[in-house]
Amino acid sequence: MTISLTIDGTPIEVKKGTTILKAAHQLGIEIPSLCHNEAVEPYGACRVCIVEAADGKGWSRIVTSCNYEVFDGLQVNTHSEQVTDTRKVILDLILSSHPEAKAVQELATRYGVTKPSFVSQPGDDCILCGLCVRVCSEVVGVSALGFAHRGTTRELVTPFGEASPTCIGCGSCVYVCPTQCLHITDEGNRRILYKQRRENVFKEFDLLPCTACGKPFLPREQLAYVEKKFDLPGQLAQICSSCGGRKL
Amino acid sequence: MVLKQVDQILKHYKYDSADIIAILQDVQEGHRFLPQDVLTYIADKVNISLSRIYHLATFFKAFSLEPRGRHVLHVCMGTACHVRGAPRILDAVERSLKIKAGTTASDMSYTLETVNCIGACAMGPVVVVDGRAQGKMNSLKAERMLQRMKEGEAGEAKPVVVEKKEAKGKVVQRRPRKQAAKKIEKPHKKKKPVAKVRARASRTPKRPAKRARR
Amino acid sequence: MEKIRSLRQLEELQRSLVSKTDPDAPTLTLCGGTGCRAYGCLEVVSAFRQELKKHKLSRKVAIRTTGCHGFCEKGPMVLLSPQEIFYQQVSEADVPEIVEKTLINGETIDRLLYKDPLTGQSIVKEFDIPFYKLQNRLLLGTNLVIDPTSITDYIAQGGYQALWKALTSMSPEEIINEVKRSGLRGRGGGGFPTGRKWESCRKAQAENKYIICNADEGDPGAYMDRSLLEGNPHCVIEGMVIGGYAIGAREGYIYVRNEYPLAVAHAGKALKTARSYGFLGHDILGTGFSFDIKITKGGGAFVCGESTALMASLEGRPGEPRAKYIHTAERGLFDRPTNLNNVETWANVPLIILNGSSSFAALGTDGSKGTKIFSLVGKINNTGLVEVPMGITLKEIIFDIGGGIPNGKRFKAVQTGGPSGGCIPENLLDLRVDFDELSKAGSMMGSGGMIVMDEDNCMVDVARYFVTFLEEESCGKCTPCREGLRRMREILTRVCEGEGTEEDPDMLIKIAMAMKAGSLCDLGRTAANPILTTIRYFRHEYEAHIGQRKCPAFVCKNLVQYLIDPKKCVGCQACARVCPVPCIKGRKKKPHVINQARCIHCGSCFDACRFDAVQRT
Repeated sequence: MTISLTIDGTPIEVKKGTTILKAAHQLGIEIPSLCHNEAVEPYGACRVCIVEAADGKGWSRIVTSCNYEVFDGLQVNTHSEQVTDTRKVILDLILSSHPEAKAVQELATRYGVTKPSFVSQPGDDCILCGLCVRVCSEVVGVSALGFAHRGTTRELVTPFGEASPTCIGCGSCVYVCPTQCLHITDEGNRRILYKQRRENVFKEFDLLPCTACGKPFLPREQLAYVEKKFDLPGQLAQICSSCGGRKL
Repeated sequence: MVLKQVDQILKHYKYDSADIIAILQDVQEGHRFLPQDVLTYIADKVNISLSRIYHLATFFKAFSLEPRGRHVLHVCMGTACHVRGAPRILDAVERSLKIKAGTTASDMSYTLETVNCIGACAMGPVVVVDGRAQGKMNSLKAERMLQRMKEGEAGEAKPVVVEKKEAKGKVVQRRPRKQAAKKIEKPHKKKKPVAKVRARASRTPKRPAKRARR
Repeated sequence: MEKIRSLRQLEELQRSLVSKTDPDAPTLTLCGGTGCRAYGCLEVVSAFRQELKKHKLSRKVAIRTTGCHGFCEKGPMVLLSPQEIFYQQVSEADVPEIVEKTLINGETIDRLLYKDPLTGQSIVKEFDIPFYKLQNRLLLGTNLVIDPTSITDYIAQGGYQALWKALTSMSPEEIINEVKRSGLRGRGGGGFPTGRKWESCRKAQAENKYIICNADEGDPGAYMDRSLLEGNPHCVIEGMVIGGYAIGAREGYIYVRNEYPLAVAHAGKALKTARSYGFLGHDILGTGFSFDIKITKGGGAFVCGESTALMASLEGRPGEPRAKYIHTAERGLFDRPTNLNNVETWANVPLIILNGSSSFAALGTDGSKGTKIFSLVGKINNTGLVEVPMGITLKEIIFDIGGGIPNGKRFKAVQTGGPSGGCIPENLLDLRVDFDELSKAGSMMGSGGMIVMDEDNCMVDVARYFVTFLEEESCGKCTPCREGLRRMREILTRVCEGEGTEEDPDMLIKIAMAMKAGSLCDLGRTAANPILTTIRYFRHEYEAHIGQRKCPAFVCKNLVQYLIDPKKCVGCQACARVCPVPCIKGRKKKPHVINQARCIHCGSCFDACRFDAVQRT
């Protein structure tokens, strides 16, 4: 079933169930966001992707485009005065709390916020977007990290602040983090996953060596995960990508 | 709490992950807090990620990951108690116990917390001591109550019956201007009109000033 | 217990219960709500039992402990029937005198009677007291006459006859139409038309549907739902079963705040007895309709009063709201159609079904029908719960029923709607209380909390209080709410500490507008209302804090100086004894002096002084 709508005056037809953000992408219209990623379900936390939705009959509302499903006759305005003003304040608030996060600085500058209105202790680039948590849960399926507490004390942690028993050291969280506050690094035969500062370790792994070249490359936990996922216990060769990839 | 008791609770809730909050509440009731090893055990048995359990345990104020003191005090900070002066009472309690709200004394004697309204607004400001509400509080009464508790005199705190003659707590109630001045009672002393106190003072021989008691 | 299977059985049971009750038999009714328990009412009940036994009156005089009567300022209270004598603030020590003088000799004890605050006149009968007389207690009235742990008391009052009528003589659509015609709107804060909500949930196609009773009454200062659930849980259960039948649900939840143990206990017992009588569970009243209710306790999170956060918590997840672009009536709990209503909303349903929608709609205004229970607290003489028809003015509630402000102080503002509401000033006291009028003034009805403030309250401090409360209670998921509250709290703290700047009010408004537009849920969207209304109506107080570094109400510690007037000080040393620093010096019987450099402005000296010698500037 197709739905007809307009975005910034341009008409488009999309499948039922499509979000405004997806429809806008199809038209090549840019709507900024910080907590959205195609690999996971929309979350609606950063609120940067807000737009004005109207029905042309007097109803209108500010909604997040990442998770608002379009309907017939929908009229979307991605840069009305209220949208622009609200987005600026939201970016100002995020920048104020994370003044050193490059992705936030760039986005804020692009939308008219050149310097933060409020002061914060620098050194915390985690914007609590939840992408790492959602990727770890929905894609990898091990839920090794999550949030704790609530309100302004909300933070990204591993359970009890200790090495998560389920983390496999895959680095998906690092890959998806928009502000690069998560890091993963191999140091000799150890892999270290840490947040923001080197001493804030989430987990350390012993690396198994490649049976071909001897280079340490594979956390035991990751091997066990892949073996379990594809039901191939003990059948995987420990060969690093340089030496030709692993047998799957 | 032994894991056997935890198993009984889990069995009662049929290991249903939707009931995890009720499970944690029952565990906390038995153990007075949520130990890490118990939470790890539950995560495994109920098939919920430890991350989610940790988030639940830190999200909801009812849960504590730290052992609680022998006495738990809650100072109500609801709006009705606030407008009647609850912040000053909290200050007084923090000073007296030498701990901040949300923490436990190092000797495990007291845990002090705030609570946002227990629904006893008529008797506000309220301090709940070990589950029993003490009403019509002010900073002086709070300090005296804590003193008694510390000295072990009060034992288990008893509920306060509405006093016919209110102690002078200016934060809570003032002497009504239009009504006759109410007699104000101080413990162990008879109230005398002001004029007579001064007269007596002028008649008694002067003694060296004592250092004021602290 | 044999289950009720016919109207005849139910009516016969009611008749036999009523016939066993002699309206002229002496009865002592005591309020046993949480508030009065904290006053020690259970000890008073024990004292009465002992005293009656002593006088060999135990069989002749009945004692009934009920739920909350609502007149909380005057507890513990005793109502003596059939004389309708009302005794207030009764202690254990008064009990022997009451038994001897009133029960045995028929005399009233004047000092225990309610006194009119203006005339000083004693009032003997409960319903002559203006606090009760001016109310319309359709819901709360039943609290006075039933023991909440007794289903037979409820049946004797006509309980469960509405359920019978609904299940046997009305179709689900007819029930929904009746609720629509009544004009009932949600009593939890949203004010959404209940009938329409039920209708959209009924229309949703799904095998399983749920109904929820939201008893997570988080607004501080509001305890109406607690009193209903503690005092008359069966009326809520009856409403839910009727709702379940109308919507097509088979399962319901009562989600109660963790801080309400008595409500949980009474509701739990009521569910058990309702099942044993056949009003709940399998094949209700022999009609073939099966429906059951489960009780769940909250975990101590205000945000779980929001419907999607509540549902997340029922699913075993942290209470983080989700966008409601798809209504919970279509996809709610466990992704199934769910109808959530507040306790008071459910409690009104049996009345509407039994007495008809027109009798409900006869009360109230065009847009807001029926009665509403408000909790009148704060700086008010008659603190308690009041049930009044919609459309009554704030002035009537606060002054006629509430008895005005204690200690001769001047009214300053009334805060309605909890942390989502706003502060209404003196010049709007003639406002008619209904959903729409309160919204126009910048506030909202909310769940019904009414916090009265006087000249000794600082409105900037009140705004800071609400922002601090919400900052702690916010789930923290979305940036406008989390970061907006953080910065608003920082600004207000600076202002209260005398470090505000002229730009601060405008910055507060800027953040407020962004939170209104951009937040994920209503906690964030309405969080700025206390700030917006206090700036709108009390800007002069902000200006005093910022421009003159003064707190006109002497609340903000850093802006208040305590000085001892040497002319009034008699040197009793009471202040010096309580000073925590200490920073008060003086010889006995000589005027004392406060060391301003060390003073922490705690106000203990001000509280302790009996001679008004400690002044605030």
